[in-house]
Amino acid sequence: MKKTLAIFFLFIATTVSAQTDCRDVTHLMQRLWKHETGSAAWKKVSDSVLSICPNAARLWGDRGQAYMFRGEFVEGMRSLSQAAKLDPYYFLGSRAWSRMHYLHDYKGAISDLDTLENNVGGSYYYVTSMHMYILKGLSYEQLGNYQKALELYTIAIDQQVKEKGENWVGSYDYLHRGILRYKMEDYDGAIEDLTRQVTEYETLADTYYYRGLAYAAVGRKEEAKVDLLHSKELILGTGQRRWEGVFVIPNEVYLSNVENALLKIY
Amino acid sequence: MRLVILLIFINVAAVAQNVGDISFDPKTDDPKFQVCNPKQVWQGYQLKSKQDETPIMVAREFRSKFRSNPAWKNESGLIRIRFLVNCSGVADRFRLLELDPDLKEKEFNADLKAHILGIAKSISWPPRRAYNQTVDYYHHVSVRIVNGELSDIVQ
Repeated sequence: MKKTLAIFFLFIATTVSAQTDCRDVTHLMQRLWKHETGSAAWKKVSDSVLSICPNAARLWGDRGQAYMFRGEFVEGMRSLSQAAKLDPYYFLGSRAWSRMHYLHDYKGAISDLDTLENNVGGSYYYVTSMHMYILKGLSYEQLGNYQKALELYTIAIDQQVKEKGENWVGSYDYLHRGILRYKMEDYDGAIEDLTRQVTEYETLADTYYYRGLAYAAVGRKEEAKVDLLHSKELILGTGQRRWEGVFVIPNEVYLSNVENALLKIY
Repeated sequence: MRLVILLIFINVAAVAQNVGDISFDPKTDDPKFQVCNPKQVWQGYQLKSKQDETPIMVAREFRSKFRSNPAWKNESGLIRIRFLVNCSGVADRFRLLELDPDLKEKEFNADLKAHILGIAKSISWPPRRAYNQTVDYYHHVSVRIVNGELSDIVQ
């Protein structure tokens, strides 16, 4: 009897402790962040905190990202889906983002974003730090539906300007639309958007590369040369180019792209 | 007692695994392949740099070497290849993950798999550096197949 009571009290104590811990998921996340994501030590903590709080979406989201980083896509997507089930407002967007970047599953990403938009009841919603229509537009662009992508980029930019002002337009929104307009052979439109992007972010090599291509396409060779050379300088020097360790981003610009463009034009 | 020690060892070994670690398989792996520092194998994404152009080279290799075959016309999905590159730039322990278009595990046609694996093995994977020395690292790349054709390289 004593033994039974002891087990009972232990069970109650564990349950109460688990519930207390689950109210502070940030604390559990901090335990995870002490270790390299995906490492054996991280995995041990991840297993442990998920056994304490199996309904904490953030813990599943963190686990999903770790598996996606390392190409373990089945477990990665299973965890991200669990996170999206528990917290569809945040993690449907996160799953869309992962589908797009890790798997190039653009149709799946669009489907997740459509569901998210229905849940939210509107389109003015951010996924990571990006307006959801920018992410959806990138997916349509990758599928080759440029017209739909243009429509979405424009709505996203206009909504942000209208709701909060020009300063609230996303860091790369004009870049995305400028690149798309270049692909659609609307070179003047591309130059206009990319010039706005230069104002937004002066040391980004990508913008000068695409604007250089657009200038070249309309015969403004000298301006094209200046931009392409500047893009090269930024990549080789202290400027920035958009890149990620864990995946290749859409429309990524490499030094060899810039050098080839210079060779082609001159 | 021996059994207990063995079970503890197996349990510790299982717990000590990082996500995505690849153990030696005598049926498929080169027994001569060695990592330089088994205590620290990096992940490729930790070692990329601003000027890294490996993705361009890898895409070019897959696109130029892939040859379609009418027998594969019903094959669609994603094939992920994960492997180890040692500090000398030698790659081995290639492992495939085969997924259908809905990301469920499946098995692709054996010849198609062998073709994809052959291309991955033919690539000169670059040695990577950390702390001023070349290091061992895991890497992965995926290819999307649509109706037997190479439609995308995901990396």
